[in-house]
Amino acid sequence: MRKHRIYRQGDLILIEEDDAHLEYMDKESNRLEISSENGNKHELSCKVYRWNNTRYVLIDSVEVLKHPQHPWLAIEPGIYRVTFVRDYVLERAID
Amino acid sequence: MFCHIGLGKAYERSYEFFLSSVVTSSGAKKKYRDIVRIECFLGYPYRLLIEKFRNNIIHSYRYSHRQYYVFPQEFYTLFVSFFKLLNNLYRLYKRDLDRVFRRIENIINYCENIEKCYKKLLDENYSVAEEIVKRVQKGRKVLTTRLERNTKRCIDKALTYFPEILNMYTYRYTSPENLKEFLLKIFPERIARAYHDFIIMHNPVVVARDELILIARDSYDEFDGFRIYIDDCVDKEHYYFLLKMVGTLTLNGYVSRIKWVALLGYDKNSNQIFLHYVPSTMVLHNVEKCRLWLLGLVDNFGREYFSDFELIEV
Repeated sequence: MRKHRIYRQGDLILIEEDDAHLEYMDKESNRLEISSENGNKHELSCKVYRWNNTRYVLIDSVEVLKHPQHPWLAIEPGIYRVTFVRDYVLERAID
Repeated sequence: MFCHIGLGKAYERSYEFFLSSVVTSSGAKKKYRDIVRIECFLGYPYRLLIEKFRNNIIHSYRYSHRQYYVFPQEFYTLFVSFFKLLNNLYRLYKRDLDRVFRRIENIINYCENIEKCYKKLLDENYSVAEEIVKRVQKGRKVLTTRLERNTKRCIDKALTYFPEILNMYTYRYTSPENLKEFLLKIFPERIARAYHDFIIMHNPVVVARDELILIARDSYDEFDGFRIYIDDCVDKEHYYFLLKMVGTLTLNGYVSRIKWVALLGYDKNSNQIFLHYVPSTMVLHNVEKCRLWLLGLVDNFGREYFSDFELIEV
């Protein structure tokens, strides 16, 4: 079985998905931009889709995930689910 | 008064016993009091006990998929003791039902009459409780030794990144409103609200902003045996320093309760400190596993969600 690729840059995590059906999702934009607490942004050129509250990104060719405070990260082509570093206290509060 | 006991079916219907002023099925329907319910998978020994005291049965009836037997009132205390023993054995043998039933069958063999049986149950209950206490005490000792040893191992490294760790600024709040006000000053609203509830429940609690702050209730006298240990640490060159903090309550010098488990880190790229809480169950795992929990790659018990993955991170 193929290994799932998981990328992390600071608080942002991209988890490779095998069975995400993008055709049923709403396309949001052609660029992923996520602002950190301190105002800096994670940026990635890719197609961004949304399914309920979850965002997925489709990367056709190798793209670079950029952030001013972190080293850049080359992302391999594929479909990825966008998640963030979690916290037990914050998670419980959302429940 | 009469004691009714209803035997259920394994994995279908629970067992129950109660007191009632009537011997008929009206007891089970509405005229019951002091009812005790036993999970069906744990109820089987009651069948053996009833078999032993078959001669004392006053009446029997069927109702709601249970077979009820009616005994004189004194059997109620016997059944309660038996229930306590069952639960204690279940705890002692860590849910191994075979061992629980084997031991309980031996005990039932001594039940010649109700007095002897009751006495035997009390003795057994006492010895089982003692065994549990001994095991708990041993576990506490091992955990305390582990935490103390790991704290010694990591404290020097921790002090280089967090010089204030041994002498944190302590904020004492007098009321929940007072605490909310303070948290709103240092965190955005969503985080402040989440921390507020967590602190009320688990106080004292550490939070991190530009430095570490210990937040405790004003009435928390000398922290009532509260102690923070460092259970594990990892230093990744050019990357991050991470340590696992465990907030505990101690009793007679040993850890008696884990209040919270947190990961405190220093990001060498962004020169920022961060602190994230993980579930208390993660106390059993090392700092790396706790880190995987933060990334959402393992569950609350440290089991991996993906059978095989490649983590690429910066």
